[in-house]
This record gives sequence, structure tokens and C-alpha cells, in this order.
Amino acid sequence: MKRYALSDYKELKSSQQTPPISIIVPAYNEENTIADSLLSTLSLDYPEYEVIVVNDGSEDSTLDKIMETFHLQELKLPIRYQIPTKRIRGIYRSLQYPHLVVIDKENGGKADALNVGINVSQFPYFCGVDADSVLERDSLLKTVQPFVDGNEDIVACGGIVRIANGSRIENGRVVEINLPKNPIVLHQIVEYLRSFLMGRLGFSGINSLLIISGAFGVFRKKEVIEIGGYHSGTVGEDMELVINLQKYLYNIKSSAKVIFLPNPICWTEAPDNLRILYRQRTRWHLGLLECIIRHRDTLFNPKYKTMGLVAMPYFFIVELLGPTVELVGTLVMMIGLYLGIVNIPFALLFILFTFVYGIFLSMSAVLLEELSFRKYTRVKEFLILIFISIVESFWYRQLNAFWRTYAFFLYFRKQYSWGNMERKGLHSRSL
Amino acid sequence: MILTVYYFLLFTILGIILMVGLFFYLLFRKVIMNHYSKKTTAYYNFVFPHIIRYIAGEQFWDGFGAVRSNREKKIIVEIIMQIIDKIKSKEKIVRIHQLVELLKVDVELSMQLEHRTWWEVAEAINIIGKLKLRKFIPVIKLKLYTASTLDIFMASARALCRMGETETIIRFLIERDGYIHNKVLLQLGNIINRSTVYEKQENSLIIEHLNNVSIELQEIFIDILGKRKVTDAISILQELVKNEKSEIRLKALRSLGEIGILINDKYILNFLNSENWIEKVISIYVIEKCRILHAGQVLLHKCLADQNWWVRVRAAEALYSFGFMGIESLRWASTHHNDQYARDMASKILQERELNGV
Repeated sequence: MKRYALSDYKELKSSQQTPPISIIVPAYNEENTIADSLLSTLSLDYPEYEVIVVNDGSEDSTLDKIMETFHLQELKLPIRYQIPTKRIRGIYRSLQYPHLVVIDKENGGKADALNVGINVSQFPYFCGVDADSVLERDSLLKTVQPFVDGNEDIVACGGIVRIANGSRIENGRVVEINLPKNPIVLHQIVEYLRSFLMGRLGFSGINSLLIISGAFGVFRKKEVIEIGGYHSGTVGEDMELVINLQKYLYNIKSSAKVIFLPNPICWTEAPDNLRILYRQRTRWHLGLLECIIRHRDTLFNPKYKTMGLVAMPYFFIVELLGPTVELVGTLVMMIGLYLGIVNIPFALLFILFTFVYGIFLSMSAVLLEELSFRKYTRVKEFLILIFISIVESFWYRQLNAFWRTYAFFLYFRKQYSWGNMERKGLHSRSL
Repeated sequence: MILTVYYFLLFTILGIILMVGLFFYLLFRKVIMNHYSKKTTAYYNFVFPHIIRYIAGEQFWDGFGAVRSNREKKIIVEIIMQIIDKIKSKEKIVRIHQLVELLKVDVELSMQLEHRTWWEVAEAINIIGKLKLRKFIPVIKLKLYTASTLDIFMASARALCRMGETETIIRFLIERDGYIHNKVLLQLGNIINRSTVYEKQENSLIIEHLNNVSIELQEIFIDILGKRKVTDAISILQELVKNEKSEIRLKALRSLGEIGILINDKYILNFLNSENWIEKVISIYVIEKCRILHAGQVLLHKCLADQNWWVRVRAAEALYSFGFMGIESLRWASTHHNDQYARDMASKILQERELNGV
């Protein structure tokens, strides 16, 4: 933290080592959010970059919205098909923003859209950004710093994703950070803090980061093309790519790393009702399940060192099976209590212990946030986050455990896809 | 079983105590920080116009002499650091330094330079560099040579460059050639290249030692010569283009392109036949920047149809940059070239440039 405080990442703006980046924005039915999100992406503080929006066969007026806002003209341009993808219907460039390219293609899923972006990109690094996300102006500079300044060879770097609901966004920039009023979103804020500030930072430290959020991550294109790009047959394409990349690096005995940085920030819209949240969480869990199955050869495999012996087993046992074990355990305990075969004091104590442990983890995440970045400055906001970190263990965790268990049934019944993630748009309003 | 229960009880109680303690600590800390944050913002808004008026020479505010609190001094120093890079007038810089002396910030900085922790020393050096306090140059030069940590070393290098002392860094690089890690060399090269203030004798110093230093340092020096567009270096760079090391050849080519002048273009055109696509791309860059128009036919018939995507892109861009004749060549290529890839690439560049009105 001291070294970070002293370093001036802004010097990277004029450094020869700062690589140009292609920002790839896959978009499917994003008519409400695409304009705001693109405005922020097109005004990033970075010396050289291009923005490639891939309209993945949207059924709404996403493409029309972009064409109208950014004055696009269709061009007939050759593309290098380094990764096989679905057919491209048209390529457009903006009159107003020379570094904006828009690709219209047949629907093929987010992974396919990202692969199209990789094929079209002209720079050696790319950054995948969700269409509903807003990047902070200096986020790219901060993300690229370890690639340039660091002593290690970095192949991919993820940044933190924060929830924008409730914050004031003007012209594609977050001008005021507020907590939303919606309790469902508040729970997700604590959850994101726990996941990013503790989980990912920890795994990055032992070179076993298995996921870079699809909302914001920078990758070196060469290695991604070597492994065949994003895999289209999964709903967890972000995790699949990183695991595949890590495996590839281990297989070729490369010292290159995949890391996570907590300071570059991407703001995204979180689901504000249970229906959409359910869809999102089941999809995430399905993605995790698919990745574990696809890369089961790494589990407990010493060839993959900390990834095979620590990270993958953690994701398998704790993240994948943990919620189900918790749910089953709760049910069994309740049955045991009803049948009188469980020692009541012990059971109560155990339950109390698990609640305290869960609350401790969540509160620790709020603490880390308070000690490091302090994005939520008001005392009231701090008290709300602490309250939510306590309340979370009493219903939200159990609901998530239920959904994630249900995701197994969906997998075996082969009922899964991205679903319709309704967006409200990143404009100023209270939730 | 009883033991397990007690362990659970113990951990639970400890956990609760820890959480309650954390909560109150954070709450208290937040209240204090918010209080000081409000005061800081209020003072910032109050003192900012006074500083601007003073630097502009319009008014001297008596309150400067009464500033005692460290927090207020820090705010004033931060304001100065925000605006000093935008100030070109020597008179205004002198006033800034007078203000720094009035607040005794220079005294505090000299004490901080002797602090036992590296981050305090590095911070002091950063501030000195940003404030361009030239009286500290001898101290910082010493820190450069005797730095105990990389952070202090890099801070010293940055500070010296900000104050126009890039020659010191160059001499340091020559003296310590072979002992500096490549990553550090690259960063120092960046720092030197960022500096906009330098003396002509520095360029002579670089040219004098260019052939006597290690390959890594040679690459840095070649970059610097190119960025600074040192025409005196053209003949030596043209010799380096024939160097056996590929990295040196590429760097020399690039620098010649940046300077934009050639004495003899024969060797440059030979690179268009190279097996290394990077050499082809950079030689096309040199052709474009030095406006070697008679290379147009080679670009059109050979490079535009090259197997490598980047060679084709750069060839088409170079042709476009040649003006009317180049554009007409591209138009012809977009419809009549034998090679499909050449037709596609010519069409791509024409469409993109015409869209942007270039």
C-alpha cells in the first residue's frame, strides 16, 4: 500500500511500455444501458485504445441506439478469424469517435461475442467489459501498471467490480457514490466486498486466481488465442477462460501470472429483485459446475501446484458443494431436533458459531473496505453495511444456498442459459 | 464432546468480542476521519484562491505566515503540487519557492530526507521533485548513488528529471552499466524520455558512449536519441541498422523513423525483404516517416500482399500517407491487385481514413 501510494501510475500515459488495448464490449439486449456505458468507455484516461462493441444478435434496439448516439457508418472490412465464431453481419465505425468499432453478428452467446472482438482487435491486449458497466477513468491505467512496472510477467489482470445502484452517474462517470435503498442490492454489496477484497486478493497472492470477472479484466491476446479463446459451450465463460489459461501456463511451464488488483474499479448494475438475482446466481453456479467438470483433471493434481492442490479443491468443495452441504446440514439438524436425536445445547452452540463466523467474514470485508478504499464515506452508510453483514447470515446466505443447490437440478435437466437479465440503466435514481 | 462444546463457546465469545471491538474501532475512526475531511475541504476551499492570487502576483495574504498546523501546510503543499506543472513562468515558480520557505516546508523536507523509513524518504524526494526545489539537487544526487531501496532510487531519478537533471541519470547509467536490472533500465529510460528539459551536451554524451555500453543500455540510448530527434545521431544510427543484434537493428530503425531524416535509404529498403515481419513493419514505418516515396511500388506490389497482417496494414497506411499518389495507388489496389488480401487491406484503409476525413 505504501509503494502504491508513492507510485504515479499517471506516468504510464506517456510511457513507451504502456501497451495499446482493445476494449471489447459484448452486448445483448442492452438498449437501456449501452449508451451510458459506452460514453464512459470512450472517455477513459489512456493513451491508446479502441472500443469494440459486439452486438450479439440483440432482439431489442441496442444496435439502433448505438448507431443513433454515435453516428455509425457501415464499412466492409477484412477480419482475421483467429478464433472460429458465428457469422458477422456488419462492421461499423463511428464518425464522432474514431476509436469506436461496432460489430453486428448472429447470436452466439457472450463467449462467441468476445471471440469476435478478439478477432477484430488490432492491439496486443484486450479488456472485456460488460455492456452495463462503467469504468472509472483511470481504471485501465491502474490495471496496466503491473504489466509495465512489475517484475513479473503478467498475462491477465482483473480489477474490482463494485455496485453502482444508488450512485449518481452523469455522462458515463460515477460522480457521487451512495448506497442504494434496496435491501437486496445492499446484501450484494457486502457480498461483492467479501468476494473481491478477501477471496480474489487472497488467491491472486498465491498465484491461483481462477476467475477474473467478465465485467472487467485485461488479458494478453496471444495466450488467449493459443488456448482457443473463450469457450462457447458454457455460461461461465469468464472462469473457464482463466482456468484454461492457468492450465496452459502450467503446461508450458511459463512463469507468467494471472493477478487481481483491488484498486482499478468497474461499476456495474446489480439485480434489484429476487427473480433476476435468482437467474444470475443459478447461472453463476452452473458456470462453476461446468468449469469444475471440464477441468476436473486439475483437481488434486500436483502438476498444477497451488491451483490444483488448493484453489480448485477450494472451489469444488467450498464454493460448489458447500451451499448444498449447508442446506442439507440445516435440514438434517432440523429433522434431528424434531426427532430428539440431536444434543440441543451443542446444536444451538454450533448454529451460533456458524452465524458468528459468517458475520465475522462479512464484517471483515466491510472493515477491509473501510481501511483501504473508503468509497462509502458517511457514518450512516457504514452502519448500514455493518447491519447488512449481520442480517445477511440469517436469510440471504440460506436463500443463495437454496438457489445454488437448485442449480444442480437445472444442470442435470439441461435447463440453463444466460436468461433475460433485465437492465434498468445506470442513471441517477434512488433504489 | 464437552471439550468440543467449550471450544465452540470459546471461539464464539472471542469472535463476538473481536467483532464488537472492530465495529467500535471503525465507527470511531470514521467519525474522526469525516470530521477532519470536512475541515480539510473547508480549508482547501478557503486557501486555494489565496494561493492562486499570490502566485499570480496579485496579492500576498498575511495568513500564510500564521500557518502552523501540519494539516494546513500539507493542504497548501498539495495545492501547489497540483498546479506547479502548469506554470511555465520562472517568476511564479520563484514565488512558489518563497511560499514553501515561508511555511518552512523545505526544513521539514530536509528532515524527512533523513528519516529511517524508506517511504518517508521517498515521499520527501517526490515532493521535492514536484516542487522543483533545486537546492536539494546535491542531496538527491547522493541519494541516487547511495539509495538503500529501489523506491528511493526511482524517486530520486524522477525528481532529478523533473528538475532538468537528466544528465546525472545518463552519467549514472554509463558508470553503472551492466549492474542495473533490465526492468529498472527500462523505467529509467521512460523517465528520461518524459523529461522535456535537457541540454545539448547530454545528446553528445549519449552519442559518445553509444557503442561502448551494454546492449540493454544501447537500446535505451537509441530510444532517447529518436525521441529527442537528434539529427547528429543519424549517421551512427544508420550504422547500427546493420548491427548483428536484431533488437539493436529494430531500435535504430525506429529511432531513424522518429527523427524523420535519412542519409542513405538503401539499407532500409533491404529490410522489406527480411524474413522477420517486425523488421518489415518498422522499415515501413521509416519509409512513411522519412517519406521515401520511391519505395511506393515495393509497398504496393509486395508489402500490401505480404502474408503478415501487420505488414499489410502498415504498407497500406504508409501509402495513404504519401498523399494523392499513394491514395490513388490504394484505390487501384482495392480493385485491381492480384492478391485478395491486398485488395481487402487497401479497401479497409481507404474506408477508415475517408470516414474520419483524413
